[in-house]
Amino acid sequence: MSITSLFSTGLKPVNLGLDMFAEDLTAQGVAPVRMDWTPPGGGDPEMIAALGRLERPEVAERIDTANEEAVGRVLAAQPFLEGFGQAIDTVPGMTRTTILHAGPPITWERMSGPMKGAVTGALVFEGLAKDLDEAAELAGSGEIAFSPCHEHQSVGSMAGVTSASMWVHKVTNRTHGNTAYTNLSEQLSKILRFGANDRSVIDRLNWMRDVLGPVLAAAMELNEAGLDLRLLLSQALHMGDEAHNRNVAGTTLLIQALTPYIVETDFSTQEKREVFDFVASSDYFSGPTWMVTAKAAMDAAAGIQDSTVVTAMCRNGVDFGIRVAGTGDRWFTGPAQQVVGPMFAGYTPADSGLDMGDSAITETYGIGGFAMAAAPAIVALVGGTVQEAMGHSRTMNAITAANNPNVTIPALDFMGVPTGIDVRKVIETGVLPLINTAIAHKDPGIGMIGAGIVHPPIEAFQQAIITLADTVGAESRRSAP
Amino acid sequence: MTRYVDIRKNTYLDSVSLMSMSTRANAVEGVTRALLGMATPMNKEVLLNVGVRDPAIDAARPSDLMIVIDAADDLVEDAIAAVDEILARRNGAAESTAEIRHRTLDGAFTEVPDSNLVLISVNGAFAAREARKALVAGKHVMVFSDNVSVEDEIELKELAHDRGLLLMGPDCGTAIINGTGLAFANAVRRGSVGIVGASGTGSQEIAVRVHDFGGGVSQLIGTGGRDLSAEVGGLMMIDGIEALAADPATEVIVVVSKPPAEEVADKVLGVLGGAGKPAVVCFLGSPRTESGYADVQLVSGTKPAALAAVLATGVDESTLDLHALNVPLIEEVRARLAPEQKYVRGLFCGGTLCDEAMFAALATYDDVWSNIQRDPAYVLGATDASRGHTFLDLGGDDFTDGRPHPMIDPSLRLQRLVREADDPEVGVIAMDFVLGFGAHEDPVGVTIPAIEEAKAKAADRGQHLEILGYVLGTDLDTPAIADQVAQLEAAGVTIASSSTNLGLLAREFVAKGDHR
Amino acid sequence: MTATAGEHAGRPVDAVSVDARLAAALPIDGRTGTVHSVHARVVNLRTPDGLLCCLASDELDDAPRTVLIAAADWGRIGWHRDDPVRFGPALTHAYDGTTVVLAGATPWQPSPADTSALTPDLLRHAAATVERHLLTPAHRTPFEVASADELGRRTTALADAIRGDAATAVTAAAARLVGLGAGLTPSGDDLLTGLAVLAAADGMALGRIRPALAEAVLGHAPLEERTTAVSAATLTEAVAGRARQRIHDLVTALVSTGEAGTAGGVGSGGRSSLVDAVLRVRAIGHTSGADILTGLRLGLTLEADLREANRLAAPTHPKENS
Repeated sequence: MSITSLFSTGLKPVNLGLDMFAEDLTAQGVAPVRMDWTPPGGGDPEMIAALGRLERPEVAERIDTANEEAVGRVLAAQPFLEGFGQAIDTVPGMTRTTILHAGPPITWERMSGPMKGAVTGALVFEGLAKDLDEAAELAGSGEIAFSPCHEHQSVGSMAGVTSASMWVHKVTNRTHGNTAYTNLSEQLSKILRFGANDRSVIDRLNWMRDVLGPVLAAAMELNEAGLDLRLLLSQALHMGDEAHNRNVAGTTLLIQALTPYIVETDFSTQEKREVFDFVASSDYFSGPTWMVTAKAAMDAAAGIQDSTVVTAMCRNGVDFGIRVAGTGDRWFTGPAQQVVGPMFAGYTPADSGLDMGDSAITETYGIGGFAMAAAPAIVALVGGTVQEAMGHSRTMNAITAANNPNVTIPALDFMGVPTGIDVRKVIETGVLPLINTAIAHKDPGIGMIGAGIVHPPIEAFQQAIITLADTVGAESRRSAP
Repeated sequence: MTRYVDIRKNTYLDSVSLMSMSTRANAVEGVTRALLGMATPMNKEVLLNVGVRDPAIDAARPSDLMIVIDAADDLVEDAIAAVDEILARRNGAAESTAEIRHRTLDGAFTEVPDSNLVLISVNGAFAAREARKALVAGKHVMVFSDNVSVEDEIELKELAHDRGLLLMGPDCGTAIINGTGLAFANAVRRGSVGIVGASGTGSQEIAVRVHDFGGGVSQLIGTGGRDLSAEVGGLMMIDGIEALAADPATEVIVVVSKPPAEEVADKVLGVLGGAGKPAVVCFLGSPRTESGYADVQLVSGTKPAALAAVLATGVDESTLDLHALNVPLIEEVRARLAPEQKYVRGLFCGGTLCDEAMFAALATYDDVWSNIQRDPAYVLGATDASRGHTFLDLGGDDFTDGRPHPMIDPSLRLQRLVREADDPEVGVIAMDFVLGFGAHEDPVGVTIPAIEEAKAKAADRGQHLEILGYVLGTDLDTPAIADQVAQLEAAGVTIASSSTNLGLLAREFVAKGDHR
Repeated sequence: MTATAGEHAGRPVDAVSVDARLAAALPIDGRTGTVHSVHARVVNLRTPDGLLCCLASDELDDAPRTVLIAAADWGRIGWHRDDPVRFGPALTHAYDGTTVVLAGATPWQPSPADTSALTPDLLRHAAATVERHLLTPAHRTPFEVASADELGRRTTALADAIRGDAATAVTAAAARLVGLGAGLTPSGDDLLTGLAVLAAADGMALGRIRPALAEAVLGHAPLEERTTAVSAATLTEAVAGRARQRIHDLVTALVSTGEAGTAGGVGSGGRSSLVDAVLRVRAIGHTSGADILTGLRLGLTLEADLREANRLAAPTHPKENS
């Protein structure tokens, strides 16, 4: 709009800064658009410089194009449940002495209490140690290879501990052909992934290995078409799930889709009955399914050059790590945070372990905390109001690149879930992704003690923006073709 | 052409929703006219008057919404669908835009695409970045923030120029666009005088004087104080002049600034000379007297600038109250001052007002000290005691460091006022009081106790201390000028009727012997 | 979750203030009325007796037939159109149990103002002040364009009728304005509101047209047949001299310009508060404020004409020192 045409148009100002100017404008009958602005990067000159390098028009254009490509792939991804298999047979790089864990890489010595509990439990379950003491010794001996799930096309909830004989989902993104894996829900709260590892936990793992996994695998072998998980997910959101902390609808939809095939398998009625009872014992059954759905979609964007879109957020109970499309496999980390939210009776915040698990892949994809507005029923569980939940989902638009037209929130006028966290926007606005999650006890062997909301540490995004500025925003790239 | 008439039973739309829906409905491809209104009998008559007649309308009740769409035959269905969609969405949309505050400019622009100007007053370290974003998004920008580097200023102004946008500032305190005051501005009538100002209070003063002479302001464009420096080269000033030259509502262009760099002054005068409209230029303190262009008049002060502008719009001078200097008043004050009371102390909020008073004094006296003196030998710092004739711009960087501008926070001036009264050689203390948007809500009221204290100090040693005040404001400002003037008069303050007169009166009050 | 919602609803909402006349008129026998319509900060209710009244957030000002609720509590009024509401000792939403308690609310009555000291000059001056702040709308809808001509013509006709001092003509002309204009409160109604409230102030010569205005509003076909329900309620109150507090504030500010005028020169003191009051009225609704101001301006001009005969001495002008 030229200056002269401004003179013949109604003035429609935006007020960025002093509120008194906005009030004066309103008093003159020209209510301005008002801002809730904070200095970019929290006012840190290093962050502003990094943002500045990425904002030069030719760089910004390159990034925008790359982000469009990255988010376009995420939105186009069609994850299908193809089947179930044991980790040793399916997960890339898996060996009998490999333990996969949640979050960015971590050594045995630095692991949190719950993760150590899960690791020792898994070593006993695999028969590599006769008891927990021996397992702890073995874990520290150097004979066990520890590796992040994310480095094996996988995700794992909470401790994320996945060992060779555990059964995993096989989910293929049929649009781009990549496959992702995750293990099965253990349902109850006193479980391996929360660091519990007593006999009851091992017994359940044994049953899952011997009955649940084989039944599900056989069922999916009968289902040659596979299950369109994005479709189920989208229905689940319309039924009041956000697919991280609330999975009532999703679990019902999933088991409804699996049931005809389970019934067709050759297993005994008793075994099938056990499977159905197990599924019915907790709404969480489909939780890992939505995680792996998200992982299969996000992996489609991994490695897109110049893109500033986050492809993974995860935590190991000590560090919070993110990966960014344009920086490939690199991890950017910061300290894992305390989860804030209601605790089960008898526990206090002092009992809670730090944020843990790969489940933040759901938020990376745009569900979970980003879709809070879809799940008003659980606002109290994570300690908020419906109004705040609506606000959370809208606020996430400030840091994402797109809205997913395939996964929508009815209460927000069918707004697509905010998808594709842009590192630049996080640093610029200071708005951190909102993650819904469970709280594990800080000590091994106890399990889940609450649920709530947590944010990633800003440090992870700061490291990412600096690396992006040094690579994508490097001067030498200016003349690149 | 097809007419579609629809009645929505019991649909209550407030006029804001109605306005936004009507605007959007009329913008739908294929719609030649969309009429939306509540179905009162009188409104049905209105539709009848414009030729809309339909049995459904006759049957509608006042609680029903009438929708009439005229659209091209082949497009009417699309148009109806689009209008339906707008109607279906109105609730969420109308309520959420009112509440949401945006985190980023990009977010604000996406949500409110027809926003067209961004007023930036965040810390200067971040202002350039936000201004750049706004310009790239095609928005006009006013940067109130200071402490923006000259390199950034040049880059922003070049970007704005390339895109045909305003980049007012940085450090631009005043603008009036389409009758709306931005940041520090006075409520003035709209009219045909267009102003481009590199000095904020100078622009305010001219706008107020134009209003006072019965004229009005079409647009007031601020450029920021550095625009006419050699480095920036008057980028915004020239674009501003050209915009006013092209603006049919502007009949005369006024330019106000401190003296520009010589080559920039030549350039600005050249552009004005070719503007095709009469122009008035006030380069305060510049020795130039001739513009070199027939249509471009150089004047010495803000009041002559306003007068020349108003006369150029065709007003008959004999109808104006020119507020000529009140000579008997000057004699009266001189008589009350003791022989040793020979100095003026000026304590100003407005930089241009300080400048103007200082130049008035310099025309007569040599020992004129200021923090904005051009002669380095006579420069006073913020911590220096006053000497001789002293004129302080308390809004200058050296005084404002870390504190709000004196137009908002008068505390520094109050202390200084009381301190000046200790000097028995002081005859006159001159002060400005700036009203209007952005300014202190009662600048006079907060100063009265200090004025009384200052006068009492002088009285204790048997002197009369003359306090001379000027209130920059209009009858439309809040508070109104009359209210502020009355308070000053009640406190025994002499009122000057303009910035120009303030400088002249202060100078004349203390003139002794030779200087008379 | 339902337990939580129940507990939430259980805590009553205390009204901040209530129109005193409304408080006296509301049924308390527990019969059921309905939610008539819902806006961002207003919920209109229809009592079992058919009276239209409203709950509003206290970000808005007091007004006839209005119960104000603290903005902090406003989020709890999640009521929808046609929901049943019980009018007992308190107002109770029949579905979610939200209860609005009126017992402790401050009763509101519009403030009286005596205009008898105002000179014709001051009235004209005030009319000019109103005029200056009547912005030309930046954009008008096609309907507004179509109705604006009618509005202008009929307003002129009303002014002529008032000057002509024929009650039947005034009634006829005013009735032609009822329901004219697009919005929830049509422009013609807003204009009549401004005029009627001003005419109702103490000491107004215009007071003599009040019966004719009331006849135009109340005496013809039922008002809700002629304008929207919300506007009908507003207009009914306006001809009784009652309107939103900020319109009364404007009349009060007008009177204070007169007081200041006789004491210390034109406009000292009161002028700024008048401008302030004008701007606050202008901020009502989208176009309503401007339409109300148009009515007020018309009233001020007419009043000046009517008082001309008894013109007081002109006030003194301030000393020009230089």
